[in-house]
Amino acid sequence: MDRGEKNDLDHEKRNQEHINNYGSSGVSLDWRFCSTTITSTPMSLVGPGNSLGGCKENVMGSSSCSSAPMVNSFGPPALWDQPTSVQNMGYCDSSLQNNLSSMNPLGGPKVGLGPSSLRSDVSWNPPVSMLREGLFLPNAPGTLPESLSQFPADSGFIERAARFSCFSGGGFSDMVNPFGGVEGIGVPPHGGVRMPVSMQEEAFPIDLVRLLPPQRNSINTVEASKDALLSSVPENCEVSQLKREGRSEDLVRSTDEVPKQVVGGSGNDSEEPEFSGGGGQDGKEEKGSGSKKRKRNGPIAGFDAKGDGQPSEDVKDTSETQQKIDQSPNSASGKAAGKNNKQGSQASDPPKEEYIHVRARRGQATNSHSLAERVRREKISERMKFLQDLVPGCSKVTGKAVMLDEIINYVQSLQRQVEFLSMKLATVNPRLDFNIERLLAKDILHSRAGPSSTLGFFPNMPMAYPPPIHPPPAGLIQAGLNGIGSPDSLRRTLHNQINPENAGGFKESAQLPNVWEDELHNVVQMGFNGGSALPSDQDNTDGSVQAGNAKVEL
Amino acid sequence: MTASRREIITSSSSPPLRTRFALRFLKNLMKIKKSTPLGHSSSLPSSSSLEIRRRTQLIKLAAYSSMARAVGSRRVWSRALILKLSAGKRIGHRSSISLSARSSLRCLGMKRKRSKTVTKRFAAKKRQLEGPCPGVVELQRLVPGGESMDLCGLLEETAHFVQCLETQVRVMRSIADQLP
Repeated sequence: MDRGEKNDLDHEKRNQEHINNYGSSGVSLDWRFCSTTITSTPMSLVGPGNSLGGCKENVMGSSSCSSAPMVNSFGPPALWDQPTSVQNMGYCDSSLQNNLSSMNPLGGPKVGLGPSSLRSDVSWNPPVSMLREGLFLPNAPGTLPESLSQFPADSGFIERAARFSCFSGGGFSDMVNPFGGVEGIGVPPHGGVRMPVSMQEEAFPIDLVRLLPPQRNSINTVEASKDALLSSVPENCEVSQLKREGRSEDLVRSTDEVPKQVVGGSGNDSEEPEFSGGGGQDGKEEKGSGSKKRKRNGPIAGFDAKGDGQPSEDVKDTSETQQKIDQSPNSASGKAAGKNNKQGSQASDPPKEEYIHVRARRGQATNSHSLAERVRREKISERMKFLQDLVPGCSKVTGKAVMLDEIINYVQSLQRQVEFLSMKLATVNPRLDFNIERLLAKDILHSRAGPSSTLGFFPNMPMAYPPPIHPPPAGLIQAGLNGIGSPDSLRRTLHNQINPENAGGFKESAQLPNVWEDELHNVVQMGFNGGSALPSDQDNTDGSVQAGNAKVEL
Repeated sequence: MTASRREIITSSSSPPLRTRFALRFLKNLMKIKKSTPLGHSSSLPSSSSLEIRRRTQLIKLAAYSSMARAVGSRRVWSRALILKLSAGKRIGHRSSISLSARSSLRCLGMKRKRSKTVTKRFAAKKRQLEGPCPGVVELQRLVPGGESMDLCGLLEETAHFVQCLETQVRVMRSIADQLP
């Protein structure tokens, strides 16, 4: 925070310079002023969303790198407070006009700033911390505007940019371009905010170097953040910002505590392409090799120190999530792929065992609880889909409640059918024994698609079919045998002249096994060719059944 | 989950579910027929109606129990059903089955608890706070042993339960059709 103030002062001094620079791109000025005007409304930062986008572009077009980060810094706040955005927009517009017309470095910002008192406060720390905390609206409402206002006026931005031109200079402009309009909201703000601070920190160059390699990630993240922002503002802001912050974490830590957040954020945002994954990710990987969801106190501590007592949980979550993201081998691609939650979890699964590792998808909240919720929701939806296939006529139904009702109705109908059928079976003639066996054979052969095995058939068969009846049982036996999953075991039992004890429930008379042995061969050879052969056999069976009726006992 | 899914889909376990179920069910049916012989022809409709109702109940129970035993202890609902049925018919019920079911239930339940993560517990608590939607309560009532499950597991159990019910209906229908 101290640093922020210092920066603010510097910014103010250079405000004129900056303003002049920004004057080239009227939009950028507007953007800055909008932010300043926002001071009146804590979350007014949201307002400049559109303008920010425009500003960003302009900024990017302009050589000033710092402007880009600044724009970025404003972005997230804009997303946070959508309702106020409208108001802010109004403010911004007015401020824009003022700025444009006046082009007065001091006057413009001052006007925009309005409550200059805010300026005194830390420049970007509050916003940064807010961003990091994830939608931390209540905090630093006043501070935000200050920092914002100061930011535009902060020519230090440009100076810093110039200083680190080697790192960022060209990169910024190039990087910034992909941001485009709104996207920058989530991403740039961080960068913008952080940039100046980081610049101030001497350690920044080092971080830049570190961050340079993972440009790709940053770009992806930026794009991802863009989409995220567009889709769901608050979440996106949080996520994107958090991500940035996570990345910037490394930068921050390396540099200073207070500016840490700022630096990180700025570093990330401004040089999204350059820094992004690189620095932050590296840092993250070192820290959180395994904990995706676990609460990390170490890295978060830094943030907390900076934040104004903001909830550390969010920071932790973000850092954790970011760590997760960083750790995943293809963070960039992962983000791009983003949709597949499992990918992330799978990628991160190897190192961890205790926790369920879930990767935060693009534009989604990264709170550990929300992640768990998301996993759970996905599981539920997956199972609902499966049930949809099971329950007939549910393909068009959408929605959990309706689907649940359908499932309940189906289960109830099935249970009613069971009851009805049991009643039907209860009223069946007592001469069920041989009928059952016959039925089993038929049932197996006809009603079932494949070989239905009524192993139980066999136990009954010996009873129902006396040994002398050879041919009739053949078909049945064949059917039964085929249906049985283990004809070998059956054969064994037959060979062993099975005793009354069941080998799978058999009660075979001594004579039957002989018959069955013969048939068994036929059966095995026949395999299950459907019930085509059966009907003929069944006729014989019926006859035999009747013959064996006497023996049947029930 | 996938393994159980596969099992549900293909029923590749030998022998297939319908076979096991059919086997058991027919055995039980025979037992019932043997034990409770119907009145000769339909001489006494009134008594036979009562008897029929009784037999209906018995057959229904036999169907459910045979299905649950065919499934075994793999599923929560089957275990719950076995326990319920075993508690229902004290006499003549083999205690070994219930014991095994109970022990398996205990083991599985304990294992599941241990594997729960912090987030799961938190989510479960949250669920309890919010309260399940009415459909979930209804489904819990329908599926045996569903009261103690959250929506996630309940849906899985329901899927398997529906599959088994369908098998049951098919087998019973074929039996009923082929009988006189």
